[in-house]
Amino acid sequence: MIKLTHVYKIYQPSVHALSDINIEIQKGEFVYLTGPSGAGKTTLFRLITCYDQPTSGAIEVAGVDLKKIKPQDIPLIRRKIGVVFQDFKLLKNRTVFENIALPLELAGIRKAEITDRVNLALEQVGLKYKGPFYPMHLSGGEQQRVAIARAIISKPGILIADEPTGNLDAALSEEIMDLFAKINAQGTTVFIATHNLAFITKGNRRVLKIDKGHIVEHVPSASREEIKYEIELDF
Amino acid sequence: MNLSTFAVLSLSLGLIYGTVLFSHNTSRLFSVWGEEIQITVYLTDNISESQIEQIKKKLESSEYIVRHDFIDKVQAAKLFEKSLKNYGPQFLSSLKSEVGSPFPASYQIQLKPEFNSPEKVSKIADEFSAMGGIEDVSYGQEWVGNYTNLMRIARVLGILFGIAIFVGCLFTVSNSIRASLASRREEVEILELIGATNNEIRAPFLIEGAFQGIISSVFAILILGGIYSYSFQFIDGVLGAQSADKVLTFFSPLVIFLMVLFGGIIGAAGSYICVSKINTGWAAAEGARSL
Repeated sequence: MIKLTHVYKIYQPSVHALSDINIEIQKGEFVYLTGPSGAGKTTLFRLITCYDQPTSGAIEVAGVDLKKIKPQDIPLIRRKIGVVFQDFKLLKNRTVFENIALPLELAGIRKAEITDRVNLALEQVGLKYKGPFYPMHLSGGEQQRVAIARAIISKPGILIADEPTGNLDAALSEEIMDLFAKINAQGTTVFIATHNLAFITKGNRRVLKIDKGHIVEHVPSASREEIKYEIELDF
Repeated sequence: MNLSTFAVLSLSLGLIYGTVLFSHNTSRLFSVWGEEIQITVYLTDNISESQIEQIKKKLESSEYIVRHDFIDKVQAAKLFEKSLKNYGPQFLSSLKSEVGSPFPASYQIQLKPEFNSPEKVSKIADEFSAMGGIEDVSYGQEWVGNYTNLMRIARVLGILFGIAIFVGCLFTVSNSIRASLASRREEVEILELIGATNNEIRAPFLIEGAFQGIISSVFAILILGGIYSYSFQFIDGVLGAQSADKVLTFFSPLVIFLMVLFGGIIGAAGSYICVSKINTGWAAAEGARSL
């Protein structure tokens, strides 16, 4: 689903943001990406979402070689990836319903179908009656759920989240992570960058650790104890 | 819509439309004056019969002449006397007694309207000048020459002025949209994020620019209409024999429609200069730069 082969990203004059990154994430996997600030997590997500080009190496997302993609096709690949950010990125002048409906409107879906799908998404994220509200009237956790609903409304194969719980307290973070787990259980590939040790060490998820642009640790979904120890030492 | 942009754009478009209106009406005024242009062909005193016949033949066969009147020497003197009777009666009677009529016989020629342009009048006058038995041809050469030069200069200046203001309008809209784009950068970033195409992102800004252009254009035309109506009475007094109703015109509905359309096109074009930089990651890159 996501494959990076010998990917380098060098910003001029000589900042090595990413060096020899090799990652392969299969369809339906749930993977955490962790590492200190400035390690290269956001750069990696920017490359996957076509906001930037690697200096060298190959990136394949949903079967598409991003090196060969034409500029006019970039929006189409983005429609196959749901993205969630720490700061929610919701349109303040649109209601919750309108924010979630936006990707469907861009895809030219009929109004009646948009209404059905948005109502279903609102129900999935536990905001059934919040459709007419504006983002400013919602709590941080609710806003993040709206962002998640918008990210999954087009049924993308991949969901990427960059520090999705960074602005939320522990209880709300737990809820959001449960939501990601539910989405993953429905078959969506989930790739989350987070500092939250509690989530990384909990459950049986694959973890990639990045530092100074290198993948320094690759812990498969089996052994929890080693990663817990390593990460606790780092943070 | 930004009020200062609206004001500057309305003023700029008003100047362009005002120039067009002034140029159009000046041209009409000169054209009406031009209708009064007469060619007077003065005959020599010793003109032969055959030369008179040749001139008559040309006058009757020419496609550009509406009418021609022959004024003999005596009539010419009478006309002169009539026009100057209050100013120098003794002088006129002294001329008669000594040498008879000193005025030459002439043909007064009135041209068809389509041949009243200065260039054509001049050409026709030259044709008569070249004929035998003709002493002089008069049609107000100096006035016609000045008119031609004036119109040429006015046209060139009008075009240069129009281009300068046109460019100014483009940049006014472009700057306004740039400000709007900066304030909505986050919105654009979100649209990029969820897979909106460049055109889908640009469209609202192009519509906003076109809307600014259309509203400013309508306002400029309304203001110009007001100024035109107000100044009409003064112009009417200046025109004298010519009625302003007959000479001056405001823009026709079709021209007004085209001008409003023009405003919309300028607005959209100015907006495009600014939003053409949006490309599948512009807002995100701008956001990263501003961190």
